[in-house]
Amino acid sequence: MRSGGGPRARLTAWLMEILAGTLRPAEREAVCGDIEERADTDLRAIRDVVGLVLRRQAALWCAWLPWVASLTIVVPVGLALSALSAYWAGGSSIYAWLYLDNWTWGHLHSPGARRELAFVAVGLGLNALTMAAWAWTGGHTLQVISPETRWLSVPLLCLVTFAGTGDLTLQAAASANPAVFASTFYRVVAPCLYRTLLVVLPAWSGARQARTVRSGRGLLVVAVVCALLTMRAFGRLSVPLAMPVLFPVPASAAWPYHLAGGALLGPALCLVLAATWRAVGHRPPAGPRC
Amino acid sequence: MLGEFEYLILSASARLGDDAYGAAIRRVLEETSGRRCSLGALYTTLDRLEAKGLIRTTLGDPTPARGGRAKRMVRLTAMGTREATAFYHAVVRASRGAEWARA
Repeated sequence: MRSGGGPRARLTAWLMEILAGTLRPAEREAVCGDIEERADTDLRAIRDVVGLVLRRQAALWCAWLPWVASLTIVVPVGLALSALSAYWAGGSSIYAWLYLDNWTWGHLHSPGARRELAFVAVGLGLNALTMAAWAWTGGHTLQVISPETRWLSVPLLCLVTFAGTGDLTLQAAASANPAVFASTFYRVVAPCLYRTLLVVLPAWSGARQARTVRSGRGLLVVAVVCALLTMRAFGRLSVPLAMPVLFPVPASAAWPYHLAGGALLGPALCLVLAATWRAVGHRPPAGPRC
Repeated sequence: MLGEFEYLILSASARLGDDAYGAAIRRVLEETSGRRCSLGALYTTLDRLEAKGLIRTTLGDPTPARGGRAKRMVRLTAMGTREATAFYHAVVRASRGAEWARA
């Protein structure tokens, strides 16, 4: 809306676009035009839009659906993702340290070592895919249940993922592998990267795509893939070479794991319901565009 | 019964006539009341008035002065005019005999 100028003007314009993006298209158009016409200071313009956005979000949270979404998706899925992302980030760090920090060509010379390397690569890759699938379905479901509050509910899901269990599940791996976790990168940076790339981005992407995905069959495929990956993650499904299980979710361990199964399959079940709903001819509203 | 701010918005809209839209109403409100009017208060009150059937809003044409953005045009309905009139008369009646109303 405010074009040209230096870095500050560009930052203001960027902030305004983000904030105004939370409003309905017609209202965004009118509000941005009013601000352009009044030519207030940058700070005042931002304060005005923040005030309007807060009022709008507060009004939306007076309904019960955002609270249902928070209690059934944000808290349980966020805690499960929090526990498992730290657990798998720790596992990935151990193998990354083994193969990247201590690389020798001997890993490729013997057939057994090559097979082991392939097993680890596929296993960790599938873990990463599973984490991304859970986060994607979580974000998607939040958008389906309560489209206009995704601006708060999806960041809340990410916040719970980062802060819900902290590095509780990483500590066991750290105590058993002190050489790996002596490095700040593997102890601090790697779990943050893992959560950012495999939870925050897929969750946001899932929420955004829920506004455009119209195919019930596509949702059904995602739900089935998610269910298969979940079964594999819990050690209930293993296809040697094709779907190796690496770091399966412990059946009886710390409390966050007990939540995981149901919590992570819940959003996939919602996708099946949404797919069925669409298959019988219903179309969801497009929701606000940003 | 209208609220004070709702009445002020209806009055500003009536005064502006065909030129009543968000930024113009805000300017009139600030000039007449001497207080700053926040965008959030204005737009949420416009929504409330529209939900009560006291105004009707439409998106107008985009103009270059607004960076090519459309205006949210506001028009009083017959019910809005009736409610504003009733509020005005109530205030006049309530003010009779008051020290500030004698001048």
